[in-house]
Amino acid sequence: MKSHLYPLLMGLAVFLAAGTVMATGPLGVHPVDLIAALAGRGSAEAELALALRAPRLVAAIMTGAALAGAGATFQILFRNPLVAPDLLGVSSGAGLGAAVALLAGAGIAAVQGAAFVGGALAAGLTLVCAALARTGDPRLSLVLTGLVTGALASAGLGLAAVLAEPYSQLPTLTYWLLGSFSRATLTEAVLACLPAAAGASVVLWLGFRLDALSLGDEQARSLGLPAGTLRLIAVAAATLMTSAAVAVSGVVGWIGLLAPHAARRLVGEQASRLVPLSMTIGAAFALIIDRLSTAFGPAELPVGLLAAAVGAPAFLVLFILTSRRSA
Amino acid sequence: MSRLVSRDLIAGRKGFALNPLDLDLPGGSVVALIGPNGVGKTTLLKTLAGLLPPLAGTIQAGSCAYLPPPGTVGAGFTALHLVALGRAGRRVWSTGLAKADIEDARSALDRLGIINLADRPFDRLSSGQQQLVLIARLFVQDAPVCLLDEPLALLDPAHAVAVENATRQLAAEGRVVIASTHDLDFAARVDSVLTLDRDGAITAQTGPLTPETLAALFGVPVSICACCGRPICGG
Amino acid sequence: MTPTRRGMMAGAGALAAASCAPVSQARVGALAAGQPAALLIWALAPERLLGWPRSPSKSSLSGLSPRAATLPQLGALTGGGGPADLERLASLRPRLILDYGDVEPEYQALAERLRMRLGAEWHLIDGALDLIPQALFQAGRLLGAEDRASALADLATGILARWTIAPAGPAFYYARGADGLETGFAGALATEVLEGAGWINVATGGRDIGRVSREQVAAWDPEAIVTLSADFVRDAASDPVWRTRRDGTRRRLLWLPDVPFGWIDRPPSLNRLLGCAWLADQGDRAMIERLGPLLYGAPSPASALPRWVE
Repeated sequence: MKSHLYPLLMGLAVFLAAGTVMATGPLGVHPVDLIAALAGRGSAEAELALALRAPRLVAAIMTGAALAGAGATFQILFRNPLVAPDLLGVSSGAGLGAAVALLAGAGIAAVQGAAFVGGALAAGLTLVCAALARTGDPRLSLVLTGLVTGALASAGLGLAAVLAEPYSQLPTLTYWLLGSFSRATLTEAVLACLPAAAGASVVLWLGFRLDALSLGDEQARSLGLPAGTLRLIAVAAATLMTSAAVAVSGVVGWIGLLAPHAARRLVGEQASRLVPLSMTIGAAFALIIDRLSTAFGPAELPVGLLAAAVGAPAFLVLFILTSRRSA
Repeated sequence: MSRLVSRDLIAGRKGFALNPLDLDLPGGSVVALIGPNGVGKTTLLKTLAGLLPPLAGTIQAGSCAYLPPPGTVGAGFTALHLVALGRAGRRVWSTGLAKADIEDARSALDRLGIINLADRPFDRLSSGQQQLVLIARLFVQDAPVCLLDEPLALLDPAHAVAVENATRQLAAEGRVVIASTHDLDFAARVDSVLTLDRDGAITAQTGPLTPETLAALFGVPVSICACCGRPICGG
Repeated sequence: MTPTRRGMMAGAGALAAASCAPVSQARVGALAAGQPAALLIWALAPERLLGWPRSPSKSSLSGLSPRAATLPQLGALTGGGGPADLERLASLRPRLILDYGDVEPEYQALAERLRMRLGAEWHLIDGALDLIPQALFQAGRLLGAEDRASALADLATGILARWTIAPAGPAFYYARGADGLETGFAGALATEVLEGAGWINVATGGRDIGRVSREQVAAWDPEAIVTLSADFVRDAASDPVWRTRRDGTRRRLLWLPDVPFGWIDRPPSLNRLLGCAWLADQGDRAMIERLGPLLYGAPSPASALPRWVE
């Protein structure tokens, strides 16, 4: 199939999934009523349904696209298909930021802000330590320092869980760590789209420069590119996207790993095709698991768990199919 | 015409330094750089390319492109895209490579006779094919100075010939081309030779290579056929 | 938390050293195994409580007598909260450990193991809401505070009797935590006080505590939301998604106090009597004003009254 058709197909999939999320749910409202509500002439119930589902839609699409885009960027940059957006410890750092805010008794908006800051700080710490390390391969030192930062943040999170007040703080923290698209209000979700979109624009602009960077610093510089600066920009943009996603939805894994893999199978390794398609696949995947999270009883299944439950087997299948092809 | 000039250039890393080097190389010729393993040929090339800072001295040249030995560059995208990336340094602000860049990449591949490899993933090509693709990229990049690190290593005779011819074409268009090599045949056929010995001294050879020079350089006896300059075994 | 071998040996050593020293017979310290037990000891014999499993927050301390702020945080031996350091507990030389809550066999077994390690008397008292009078009598005997226990138990009996015959209340959703998305499903311990008073819990389909989505709450369409959290009230009071019912009318929001402890939950202990008293007769301020000082040693803060938020 022609590779430029895939983005269109995936865009259609996103549209359909979004429609499903908007049209179905515990409040059994008729689609016609919903459409009337969009025009401002629906019943009170339909207005309610729209007000409830719109934030989830925005949060899911933004989170899926942002994590997938960040994952694709890192995978290209580091020429390693096993790299995930949490490479620099961003998710763990964001989790720690949120935990600290929760323990301090802050409101939901402040928790999200703290998550964003925590993620950015973790990434910053990783970058500084990697720069200090000064080994031959800058990519290796980034991976290693990212591991350390992530481990430190995780330890901090564990400590926060022990210190948390067991009746209100600990459950909130636990569920925050497991991921949810329904916690953010529409305003918060839309606000988070801003840094995510900024990061995404930068990554999309980088395009072919990412491909050059994937050849290694030496080759990139030989081609006349300011490799160090560009890599920093790419990492910063990906961090921005990941932090925004984690701030809104908590820790949702696997999308950043799986979506680029699926996209790679369809359109190959070129950044200018891989990144946009990854983001579209990520958004569709997030919408699907959002729909699944409320499909089984009144309790909302954490989307982080669902992403793993659906994503891990899908990843395995993809991996087997890919290796069969190339063998 | 391009030119590569250096004054009192001391190339090196922590722990070792080469002798000061004064170079004045005009464009249009292929220069071979020969010497034993580990003396610093790669360091010298990378320093000339601007990838390593010199310990002292200056270099004046236009932009320089450096080609590492075969097998060191890996990429999953197509050969065509890799060649088109030669223009990456020129597109400072745009969001993508221009159509013209892709077309030039195609012509470069065609010129080297490997247009059939355009849509194949670079990683799946043989060493020889990869090397030709990378040289095609040098044409697209159009840097005035091209520094090739052992471009003929690991190549079978057919690909070696193709790479050698491509190297000459690069120079023929006015560029300064320096290629480090262990292939004394190749060294005997190029326009001039630089030797780098174990003491860090870089000497420009005037005239063809003599057995004495080679023996002193490598430490083993090497004979050269008197009429064509090729090494003779059992010398 | 499993104590390390070292901890056990050190604890046993400390205990041995302690038992050699002369100990005064009267009024030795009592240790609470969990926060519910701490409230029980505090109500009957606050001077004997060795420490809080979890220290009350600053705002909670304002509703307790001054001694509360001087007690150390010790961690919990059972139930939620940070694990206790056994060596530190042993150094306090408790003669009596009270646990107040579930009497399931697994907790009996746990009691046995810990009794052997700490060498103190361990008593597990049934924490069921309707058995509060009996629990008070039992604890009163153990703590040497029979008079206080008797007075409180009489009050409790009356409250519980009126509570069980309270007229039916609205269909409610219990919003637990700051985002209000955690709830106690019908039959949960957390909502027992409301359900026993004839209020109807709309949250069905789950067990005990669980997480739900806002849309699910909207689908259940409760008449009222009940919460202990000031943060939730701040965020949800003016949020149309929380306050609008399916037919467009406004949903009621009940804000129960949680200072010094929650009126219906957090922890599941004597504090729930306040909730029962209010639900039994929402106008009877006198009963609340009597009960507060008896439970906590200080008059209830002026702000600590249930409010229907507009």
